[in-house]
Amino acid sequence: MSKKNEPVDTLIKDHEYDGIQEFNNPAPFWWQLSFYLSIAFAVVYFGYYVMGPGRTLDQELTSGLEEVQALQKKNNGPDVTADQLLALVKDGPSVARGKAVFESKCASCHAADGGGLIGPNLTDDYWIHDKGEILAIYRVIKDGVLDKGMPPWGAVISAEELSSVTGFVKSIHGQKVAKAKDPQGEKVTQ
Amino acid sequence: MKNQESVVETFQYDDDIVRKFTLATIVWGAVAMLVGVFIAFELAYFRLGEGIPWLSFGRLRPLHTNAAIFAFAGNAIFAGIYHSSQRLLKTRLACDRLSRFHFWGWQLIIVSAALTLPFGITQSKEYAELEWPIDIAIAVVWVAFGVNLIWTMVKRREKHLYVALWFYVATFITVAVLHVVNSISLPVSFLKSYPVYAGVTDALVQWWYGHNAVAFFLTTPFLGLMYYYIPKAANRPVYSYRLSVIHFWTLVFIYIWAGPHHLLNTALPDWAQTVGMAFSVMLWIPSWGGMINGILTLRGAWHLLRTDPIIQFLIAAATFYGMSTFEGPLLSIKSVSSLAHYTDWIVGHVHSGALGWNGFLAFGMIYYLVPRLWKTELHNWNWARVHFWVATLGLLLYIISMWAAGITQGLMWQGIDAQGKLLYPDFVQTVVKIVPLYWVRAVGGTLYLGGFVLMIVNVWITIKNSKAENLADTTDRFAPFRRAEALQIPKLEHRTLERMPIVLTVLALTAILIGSFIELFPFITGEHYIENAYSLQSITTKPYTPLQLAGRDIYIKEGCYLCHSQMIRKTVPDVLRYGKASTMEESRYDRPFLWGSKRTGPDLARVGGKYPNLWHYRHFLNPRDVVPQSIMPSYTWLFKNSIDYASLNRKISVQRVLGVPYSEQEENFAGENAKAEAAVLAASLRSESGGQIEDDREVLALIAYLQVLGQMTSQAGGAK
Repeated sequence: MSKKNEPVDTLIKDHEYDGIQEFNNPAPFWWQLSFYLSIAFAVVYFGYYVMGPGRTLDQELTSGLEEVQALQKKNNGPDVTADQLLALVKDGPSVARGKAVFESKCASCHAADGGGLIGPNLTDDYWIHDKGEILAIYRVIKDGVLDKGMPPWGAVISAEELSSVTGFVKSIHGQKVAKAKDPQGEKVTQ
Repeated sequence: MKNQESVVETFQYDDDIVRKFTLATIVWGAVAMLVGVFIAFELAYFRLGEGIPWLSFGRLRPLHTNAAIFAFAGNAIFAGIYHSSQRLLKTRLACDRLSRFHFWGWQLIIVSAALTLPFGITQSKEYAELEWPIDIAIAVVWVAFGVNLIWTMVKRREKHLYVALWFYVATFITVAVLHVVNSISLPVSFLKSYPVYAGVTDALVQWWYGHNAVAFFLTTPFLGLMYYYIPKAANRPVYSYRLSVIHFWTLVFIYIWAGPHHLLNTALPDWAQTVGMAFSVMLWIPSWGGMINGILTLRGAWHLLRTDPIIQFLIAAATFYGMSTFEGPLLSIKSVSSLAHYTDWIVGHVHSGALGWNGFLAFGMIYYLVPRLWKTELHNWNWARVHFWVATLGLLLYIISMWAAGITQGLMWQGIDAQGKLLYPDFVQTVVKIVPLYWVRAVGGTLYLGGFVLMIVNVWITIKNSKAENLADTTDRFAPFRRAEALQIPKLEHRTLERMPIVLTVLALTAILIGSFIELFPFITGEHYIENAYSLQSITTKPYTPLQLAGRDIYIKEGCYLCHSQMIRKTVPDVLRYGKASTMEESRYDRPFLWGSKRTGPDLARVGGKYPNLWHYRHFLNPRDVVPQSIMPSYTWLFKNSIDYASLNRKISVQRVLGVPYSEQEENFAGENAKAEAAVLAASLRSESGGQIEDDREVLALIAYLQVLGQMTSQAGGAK
């Protein structure tokens, strides 16, 4: 810090307004230095990103998404089989986990007890897709049915949650519900 | 000697107008803060005011911001400018009638804001919500203020213009330009209009305005006030004249460019974002020039910080100014913005400026002015000290809770697990987490208001104790300068400019026009830039159907955009949560644009088709039926109010004039077509729900609008 930047408190002659006088102290050294640095940063930053090799937002997004998709692929284990899913219907802890997922994600459209609200009743004998086969239930949850407003949950919940919520849905078949929605789809007798 | 003394003239200051503006500041300040505290509690507890349209957050939030900025800060600015300018120029204000026209005109504008905004009459552009007739009134009254100010400078006795006056000049000229350019719109009716700009252009013009309203309505005038009231209250010389020259010109020149930092990572073209960020970073140091000159003026009188509440308020104001002008550039860095934007961090940042900088400076000024204007002692200085500490405590609770809420929620939105999935896929999970902090904020705001109420009582008793004869105008004596001498231009230096108010005004205007022109010109002359970009993508955008347009206007009326954005940014977490990043083409016909600036609820840019119609229907009736933990209030009145079909032909007609490709047929049958659309939608809802649903309710139009969001564009060749 140079000496000439220290305040000396000299009043400027002829600078008086309604009693207010002015010193002419130099701007602090750190202030000046920071100003030059911020200008230098701005120029370099602008040059690099607008005229230079800096990546555009689209390019950065694309590479970011590729990384995430690679992660998703790596963790997307082999598809489940019907037998594996059916085993989960009787697996108490798994059904409990599935119930929790159902209550947070599915209840808004299918009601907490599965009796149906916006989406169909899941406890009755009527099924819209593939006669309510367990793999069909799994696929509908995973990939959604966009035409009917069922969102795809495969990108949102984990593979394990997907399986346990499938098991839970199958487990509530035949249960008595408070307010059942009118049947939709075809009757399946097993 | 004798000859010279005879030149000294005696004159009187217009103190009455300053008293008027001071009282208006206090009255409107109470209104602004009361509304603010109310809506803060609404966010903490959604049942508050639920079911009453004009008490809903979406309707009251614009009232709060407009009252705080234009009514509270605005009247404070006018009080301070009129008080200090007369004394700095050693003359009475140029025209008493113009001053009164300014005062009553401004109060009338505020009253008309209070009578329109809660009823959903709004243009939805933030801090520029007022409809076109009020906009015209603002322009007229603002020009009256400017003419009065510059005229007073021209007929001054003091030879040179003090730094405070440079800031007042920059304020007048820039706000005039900002207001006129941003408000240009085509009326549909007396209380409804569509802006001439659409989509990305509207977004850029709006945030050029919005950012610089902060700059030239809440910063430059207050810096001017600071330059008068700190040296006066402390009785110390200003720290550095040369610093004031540098930071004035750099601030005025650089500020105007920084608007695009409100649109980082959005569909705004990269170059404009980069310019906005680069200038925001450069803005940090010029801003701190003002803070240094304010705080260091107290050198040699630091003891006043312990004893004098006026100095406490003024110096704390300069300190909060320094804090928020460091935070601002920080938030303008693209990566910081990707975390903080749309969160409560921004809300906290704004309030450290508005409550800390503007509020504290206004309070310090009021405690300085009231005893002088009513020529009596303040009733109780200890109450003023209590006010300072209560307000400081409230403000700190406010800022800290919003930092915590904003950073917590921002990180939750970004969280991605090892499987490449969102950690918190349900938006509502991230809301529930921060509701406790909304309570802390509301308590902080209440404390701040409490301190303000103490000031009101203090001022009221002071005024009651003042005698009527105290209200006579203050007399002063001063010798006029020799005008012939001032007109000579001896040297090319800043001092010369300080003798030329008109030239100073023109130079300040030039300084702000450079950045404005370079940033806005390519967008406003759309055919050459934006339209080219659209056709290059070979993407076509469908205009809204009449029912969707009616729904869009309801979305605007209810202030949905204040809690929901419609802009999926070019960031991985945004795309994972909401879908493909939003494009310019998607808002091509959006007048006004509705990108939003806050996500109290989730983004809606691609909500179209995501849920069935019945989901939306039930959600508006009671959001908790479908999202159990939601804090959105129910919108029961949408099920009672009928859709305004009658205005649709006229609306489409105005849109056609603005260049939206509707056919003449579509214009003439807009009302009928909307009715038919609504009937189909109602029928499908009836068959799904089995319930009784009328054909013409507002909720149908709003659902129709929401269901098209994200579905407006198609690539040439048919594929979406």
